[in-house]
Formats: sequence, C-alpha cells, structure tokens
Amino acid sequence: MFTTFLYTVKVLVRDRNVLMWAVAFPLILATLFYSMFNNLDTTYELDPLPVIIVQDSNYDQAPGFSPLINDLAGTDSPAGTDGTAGTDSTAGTNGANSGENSTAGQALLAPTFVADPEAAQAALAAGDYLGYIVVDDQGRPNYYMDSRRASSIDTLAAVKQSIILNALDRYLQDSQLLAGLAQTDPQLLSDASTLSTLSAQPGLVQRGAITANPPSDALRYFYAVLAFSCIMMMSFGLSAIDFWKANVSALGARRSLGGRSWAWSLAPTLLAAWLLSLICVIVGFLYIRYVFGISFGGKEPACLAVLALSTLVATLLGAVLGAMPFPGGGKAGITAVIACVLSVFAGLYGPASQQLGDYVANNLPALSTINPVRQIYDAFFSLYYYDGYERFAQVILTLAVMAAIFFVLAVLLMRKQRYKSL
Amino acid sequence: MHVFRTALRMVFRSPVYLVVYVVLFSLIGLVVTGSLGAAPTPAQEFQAPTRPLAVIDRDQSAVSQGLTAFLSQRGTLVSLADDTRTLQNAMAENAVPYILIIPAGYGADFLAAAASGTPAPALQSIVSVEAITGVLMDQEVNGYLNALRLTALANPGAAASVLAQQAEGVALLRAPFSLVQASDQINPANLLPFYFKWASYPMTAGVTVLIAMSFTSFQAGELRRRNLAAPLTPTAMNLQIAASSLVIMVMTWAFNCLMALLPIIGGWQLWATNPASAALIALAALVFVFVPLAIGFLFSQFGLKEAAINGLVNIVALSMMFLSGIMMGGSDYLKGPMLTVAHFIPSYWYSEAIDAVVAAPGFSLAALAPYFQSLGMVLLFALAIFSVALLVGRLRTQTATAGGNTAADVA
Repeated sequence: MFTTFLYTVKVLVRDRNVLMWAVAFPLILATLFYSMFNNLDTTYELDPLPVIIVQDSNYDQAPGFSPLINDLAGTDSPAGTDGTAGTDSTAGTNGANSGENSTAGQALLAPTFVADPEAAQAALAAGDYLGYIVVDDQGRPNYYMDSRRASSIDTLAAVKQSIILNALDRYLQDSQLLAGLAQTDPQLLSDASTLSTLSAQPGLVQRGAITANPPSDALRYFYAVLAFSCIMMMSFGLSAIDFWKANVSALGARRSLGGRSWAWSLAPTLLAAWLLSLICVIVGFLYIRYVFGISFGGKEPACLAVLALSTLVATLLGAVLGAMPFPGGGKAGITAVIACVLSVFAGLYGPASQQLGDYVANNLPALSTINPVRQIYDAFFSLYYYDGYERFAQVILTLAVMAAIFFVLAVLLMRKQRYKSL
Repeated sequence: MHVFRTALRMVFRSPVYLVVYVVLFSLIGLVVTGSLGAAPTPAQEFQAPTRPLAVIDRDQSAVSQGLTAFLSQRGTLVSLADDTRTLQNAMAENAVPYILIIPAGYGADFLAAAASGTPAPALQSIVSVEAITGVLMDQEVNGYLNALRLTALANPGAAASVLAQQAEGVALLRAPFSLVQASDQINPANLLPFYFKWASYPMTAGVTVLIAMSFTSFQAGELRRRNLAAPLTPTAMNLQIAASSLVIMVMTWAFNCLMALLPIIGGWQLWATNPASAALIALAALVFVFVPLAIGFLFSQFGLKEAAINGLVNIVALSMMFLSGIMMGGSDYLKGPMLTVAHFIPSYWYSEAIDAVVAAPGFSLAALAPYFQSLGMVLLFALAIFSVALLVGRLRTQTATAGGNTAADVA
C-alpha cells in the first residue's frame, strides 16, 4: 500500500501541467492581486473632491460662503466666522471622529476658482471635475454636476456628488435657521460667544466597530483565490484516477494487472493525491499569509482545517470526474472550467462578480450551499469577521457532507469498472 | 478548403471551451452587468445614492424616531435585529454599509445639552469597507442633529416631537442642483460600455484557447510531417488555417455583440439612440480580438499540452482583466505603479478606447482622436505578439520534435 502511495506521489509530482495549476497559478494570481489590491481599501476613502467654483460678485457677497469653502478646502478661515454659515467636513478615516471641521482634519473639497460660469463649463469639459458651484443673486449656491460623473452605476461617483451637495444643503439650512433665530431673539446673535457656540459644528457621530477585525474589501480577493486554488486540486484527483484506470494510461493498465484489489489500490492513490493537494494549497496559504501579510483573523490553525477539508472535497470531485466516462476527452479542461465558473460566485472576477455572488448567497442560499468554492470562501470570511465559530462550523459541516457525497459517488463509479474486451 | 474545414471541425469536435469560455462567460458577463442596475433613460436625472443603512434605536424617543424618519429619506432603511451576530453579518458582507446606534436616553440628553449650550452626546456609527458612504451618512446625521439643536434653541419649551418634525423639514432642504452634459456623448449610466469591457475576458480566454488548440493540433510532430508531404503549398495551408482562425475570432466577437443587444443591459437602446457610439464600441471589440488571436498563435508555437494551454490562457486572461483595471470597472481605480504597468497591457488600451467613446464631446476626428490612438495601441500590441510568435515558430520548426533540420540531423 505504501509503495502504491509513494509511486502515485512520484508520478503526480512529475506531471508539470498539474503542478502548474496547483502551485504556479495561485501564486501568480495572489501576487497579481497583491499588487492590484494592496491599497484597494483606500479607494473607498475620501480624497478631496475636485470641484470648480465661480468666484464672482455673488460669491463674494454671499454671507459666510467664502469662509465655508475655505473651511471645506482645509485652507484657513474657520467656518461660520461671520456667524451665518458653516458646515462640517466629515472626511475622515475609520475610527476618527466625523463631523470635525476640515481645518482640523482632512480637506473635503479641492476647489478650482474661475471667473464666470462659461469658464466653469469649459473647465468641466476639459478637466477631471465633479461639477461646478455658482452662487446666484439670492446668495444660494447652485450646483451643476457633471453628468458623466453622476452615474447610478458608479455608486462612488454618486456618493461623491451627494457629499458636495450635502455641504451646500447645510449652508442653506444653517442660513435659514440662524436667520430665524435672529428674528425671534436678536440678542442671541449679538453676543460673540453665543454666536460662536451656535456656529460651531461639533462632530456628533463617532465611529465604532462590530466585527472581530476591520472590514476590508481586498481580503475578498485573496480568500477567493485561495478557494479557487483549493477546488483546482481536482486536477490531482483526476490525474491520480487517470494513472489508475486501465483504459486511460499505460501505468493504469499495468496496475490493473497487479495482485491488489481495486479498493486496496485506489485508497493509497487518492490519499497521495489528497496529500499533494494539501501541500500545494498550504504553500499558497503560507505565501498569502506571510509574504503578503494577509490576515485570516489570527485563526491560522482553523484555516489549515479548512484547507484539509476543501482539498479532500476537490480531490474526490476530481476522482468522480476521472471515473466518469466522458466522450471526447478534455477532462483537464473541464476541471478548470468548473473551477472558473464556481469562482465567479466567490467574487474572483472583481466587484461585479462579488455583487452577483452576494446576491445569490442572500437570495438563493441553496445555490451557494452547493458551491464548494463559495463555501471555502465563506469559511475564511467567517474566521476573519466573526468572534464565534458558529458560521465556520456550518461551512465545515457542509464541506464534510460534500466530501462524503463525492466519496460515495467515486466508489460507486469505480467499484465495478469494466473495460472493453473481446 | 479542406484544411480550413478541418481546422473548424477540430474546434467544434470538442466544444467545451467554446461553450464555457465564449458562451457561458459571456452570459455571466451579461448577468453581472445587468445586476449593476436597470439602464436609465437618456434624459437621466441625478439620483442620490440610496445605499442600505440601518438604525439601531435603543432610545425610542421622539428625537431618535425623528432621526430615523429623516434617514429613511436619505437611504434605504433596512431593519436589523439588535444582536451582535446580525450586525456583524451585515457589516462583513457589506449588505448594510452604514449602521447608526442610538443609545437609550439619547433624545433627552441631546435636548438638555442643546438647551444648556453644552456639547451634545455623540452617536455611534459603524461603517463597512465603504468609508466614503460612512462620510456621507455621518454628514446627513450631523445635518439633522444640527438642525434639531438650532430648532430647539429657537423654540425653547417646545415638545420634542414638534422639534423633531421641524428639524426634519429644515434638514431636507436641498440646494438647487442640475446635471450638465457637455455634449451628446453616451449616457455614462448605459451598461453597454461596461459589458464590452467585461467581454474582454470571454473574448481573450475563448479566442486564445480555441486558436492555440487548433494551431497546436496542426503542428504536432507526425501530423505536421504528413501535412508537409501533402500536395499543398505551405502558404496555401497556412492561409486556410489563418482563415479558420479569423472565423473563430469574428464568431466570438459577433456573439458578444449579439449579447450586447439583449434588453438586460439596455444595449439595444444605445444602438437605437446613439448608433455611432455603439458601432465605435463594437469596432473597438473587433480590433481587440486580434490580441487573443495573436496570443493563441504564440501559445501554439510552444507545443504545449491542452491542460497547460488552458492554465496559461486563464492566467493571461485574468491578468489582463485585472491589470488593465477592467475588473474594477475602469482605469480610474489604477494608481501609481499599477497605472504604469497597465500601459503595457493591451486590454487597458481597449478599455481606454471605450472610455474615449463615452467621453467624446462629439464625433469629429479631433474628438475621437483618443479613441483611435487607443485602438492603434491595441493593434500594435497584437502585431508585436504576432511577431514574437513568428520568431518562436521559426526557432521551433528547427527542433527535432517539430521535424525541422535538427530532426534530419538526428536521422
């Protein structure tokens, strides 16, 4: 038995095509992802928003508007110094108080000043701006947003436009409220300290955390590529069966003539394929975890359990494919295709496929449950985000059931293999 | 035309790659694109983003209910149970990117602070990876609470529910705004450009794998030797193989163009309203498929096995999609060194060509100059890869396995 195991390992290691899928592909893809997505999470943070401002007489005369723009741009003149307007700049990062004035934090706007609306329109067409602001003769700021950067497809663009619009809303709201206060209690606004208190824009919202580790979009790609690598270990199961079946390879033909029973011969073959699969994905895991420093929530031993079970599922699935009579050959291609298609729903193909995968998981959970790639991805995901192990245990149980089903299928298909004979 | 027919027959004999890479991945692209949202009408109006948000109201006061009512008008209010697991799920999956927690007693504390002029107590917000959405929603919450604070000052002694209602009226006040469109360019909300960008994956993977398999079959040692002995000039044979490759290439492109007409992404709408733009995008796709054609030809020169070709095709197709920024929707997401690297990826120029059509202020030669420049770059890449393939092929035909001069020496 040990000899069968040893020689199966040898022939599988010598198959360069399988090794390419098992080792090279995940390492290349992980490297690619790292170079692409290392700073992905900064995409969702707020850089100062480029906007054009028409600096005409209306702009100069609008009470408090110029200081407000300066404040939002993070330059000088704290907002509301003349007691009429101001706003908060909520640009900030996770964990920071939002609602701080931009002078104390990050700038919200990156304004470019022009003399008139025509110049603003020309600058908008030529440059990379979100829109332009014109103050009308009633002192109201009007915002003209670039339709190319207000798309409902690009949620981030729409959010950025709303942030600018909100800052202008706030100016109007404060103007109206302070004007109302001045009417009801003129004394209130005559006192400098009271005025200062009224105009102050304290941050009234503080950031908290609920997940075990901070949310990160980049992690999804690494978990997806690891899940993809695990399922690609079907190749080992498939190749092992190719080397076992008498009508597929010369080695299989020789082995079928040996004195071993089919079960005694098959068990070490599959064991060797599984062991090699596990070693290959552990290499990928260690590469992702320690070379790139990708977090798995500090639960690495549990990750190894996921890898062990998922490679068992993949090896047995490969064995099932190998045992099935398939006209026209091309089983190696089929394994790759299965892995690629299933990986769409684990989000391997970018944000759109992540959305699709999440949609399926939330609305058609049965489809996600039978997708081993999504389940493996969910296992890593739950380890990172959740304190407890309930979700993780569910996934592990699902993978164990899959492994059992594939094992039974593989045994049923290979138990009574018959070949063409005279 | 026997060789031509044989080459095509070989492709269709094992249709798994054709079905999966071309048909299935195009359909997935269609679903993925369609899931981004219904195609808006050309006379689009700005729709403020209505990202899902949840309020965990542990106060149940007039203030907290007023704030919740206000936020329901600035986002899609989602009901979440007040337990850690549910909140963790919502955050981790980014199903609800913003959760606001209002602690018990907040309403009374807030109004007391407003009346006394002391700092108001803070609320807690939890934000998913979408930090920018958190910024916007914090802005909304601050806006409402500020309106409530000043309303309370102006109306001392008023009931909390009245103050909350007045504050909501003020906080909903919007500054005047409108959309400006520089010209009659494509509505950026149209999904067709996105679909064609995504289609770079099925086109790259499909055309490359089919061409590589087809050429590899013809160049296998014994078969090549037999073909060389056939009463057919090498030029005629190569031309027939090339013609079959062009048919595969055009078929793949045409299939994706047909997909793009389906109503799920509103492609037909663009063809009807802006046929010139749609045609330019389709033309960009046609030019682009010359790149996978050249890559397929290059792979075939290495004499690889099926599994190796398949693996390489996936690496190349995925790499091109990621490195060009297409997977993220466009080159806007590329920064620093990655943007520099992207300039060496043909699909980046393909994506730029599509973006150039979308951003073109008109249909003059000058306005479309960036489009044609990008397409020129795509063609140059195809030419460069094809040249490398010819060189590799030349070297390979001299080897023993390919039946070249080295084989004669051995014999």
